[in-house]
Amino acid sequence: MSLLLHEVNVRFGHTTALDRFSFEFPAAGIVALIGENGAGKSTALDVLSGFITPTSGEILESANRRHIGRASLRNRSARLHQANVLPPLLTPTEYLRVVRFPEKATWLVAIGGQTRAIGNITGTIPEAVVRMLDKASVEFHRPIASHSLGQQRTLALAATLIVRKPILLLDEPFSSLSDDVSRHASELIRTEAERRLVVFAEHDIPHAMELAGTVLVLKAGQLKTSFAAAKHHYSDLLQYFG
Amino acid sequence: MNFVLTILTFVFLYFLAGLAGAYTFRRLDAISVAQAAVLGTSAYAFAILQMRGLPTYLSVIGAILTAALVGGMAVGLSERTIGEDYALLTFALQMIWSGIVSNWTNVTRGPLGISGVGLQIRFGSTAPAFVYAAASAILALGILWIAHRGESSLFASGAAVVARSSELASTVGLRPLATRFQVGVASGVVAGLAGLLFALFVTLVHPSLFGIDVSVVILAISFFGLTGKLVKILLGSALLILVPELARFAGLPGARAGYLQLLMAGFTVSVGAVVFFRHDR
Repeated sequence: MSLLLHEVNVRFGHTTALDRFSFEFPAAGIVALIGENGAGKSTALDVLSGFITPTSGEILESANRRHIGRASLRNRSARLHQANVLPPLLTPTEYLRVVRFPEKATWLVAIGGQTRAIGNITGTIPEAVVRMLDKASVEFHRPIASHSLGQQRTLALAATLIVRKPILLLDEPFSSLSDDVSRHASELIRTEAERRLVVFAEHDIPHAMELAGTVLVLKAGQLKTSFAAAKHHYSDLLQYFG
Repeated sequence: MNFVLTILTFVFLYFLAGLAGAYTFRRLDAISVAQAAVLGTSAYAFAILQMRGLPTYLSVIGAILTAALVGGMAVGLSERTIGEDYALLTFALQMIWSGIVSNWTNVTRGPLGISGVGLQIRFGSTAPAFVYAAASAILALGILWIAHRGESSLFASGAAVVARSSELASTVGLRPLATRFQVGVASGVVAGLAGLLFALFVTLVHPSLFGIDVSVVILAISFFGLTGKLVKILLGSALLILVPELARFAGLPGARAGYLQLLMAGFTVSVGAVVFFRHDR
């Protein structure tokens, strides 16, 4: 199901964070949002995730032009924030189990709700995700708080990738990741994008263009241009920066 | 002998109340200063329902359900608070509760309280203390076992995600409000059982039995189990109940023994607040 953002405006007081933003997001594939700090990338992700309500404009299902509300957007999307927001005292295994089985983790007396959250995670989450976590030397049975920033970032990204929702929204997913882990994460994102929509905000323009199918360039809250990444070189974009 | 059994009963009942308080912190980082109000809700609900002629078993069910609902709604409100703001909120709820039971005189009999609670279902005059000591011990140990098992459950991990961030919880597919409500219901049921047994044991419900000072004592007991093994709450309960009672037994006037308990509770909360809520500045 593709999403259509039509003339979306977001204002915080006198500041315009998104200015008449219109774009049709496909049902699957990778869309990169690039732009300088304050360009509106994170705000666009906030709108797509249902975290904020646009001041004006519409979010519609492309097929039938039906309005999509915030609750529906929240149900459809998983969001990776710029900052690592993780439960510090859980181990990666416990956290990943919750992400994998949110229904069982929601109900105190549901069948399986008392499933033990500890144990071996292998077999519960995709092997490729386990490999990425291994590359970052994430220790599955140590509290998340005791891991490094890069390891926590890898875990946060891994958790977002295994959420079973049709839209993944990733805000600077590769920050703090080593080159090796970053390459592995890119491969995982490509695989996920075969069956669902991945929208990510990124400052590393060559990396964004290498990974994305479509690139959106934002400046001062406005969508300046959008294009198929394969048909351009990143030097073409310099006019929009600095 | 009756003195020992009475003390044991109180130790186990306060343990249950402390366990209910510690549960909301361990699951959601929510510290409640209104545990006495939840106990009182159950006790009052039972006394009122029974006074109005409801059969005992229905009064018990009604009392526990009321406490569960109150607990669920109170903890559900933590969705709108951050960190220790919830303690302030529950302090206000405790004040509101005390105000209501003291002033709604045609239902609660106000400052007079309701006496003779559960007298018709007492087990005769020969061994009531033994019955209550045994019942509270079995209940306390049973609930401790259930709570201990729940520590490593998927629900506990899910609640930890909710406690960290409702938005994070939503994004991974959890329902933060449902989780908070359930934690409150579970805590309310345990506190409600303690309140009900307490009312049956002392055969009296009165606003002062469930006031803010009692909430502070329960809070102090629950501090023993904020982290680590839950059984430590039993140590807290034993200390805060036994020491004042032994002092009373040794000849300290009753009122001063009560102040000694408050002093110990205040000290425990002060130390706990510094140790557990030490934030980086």
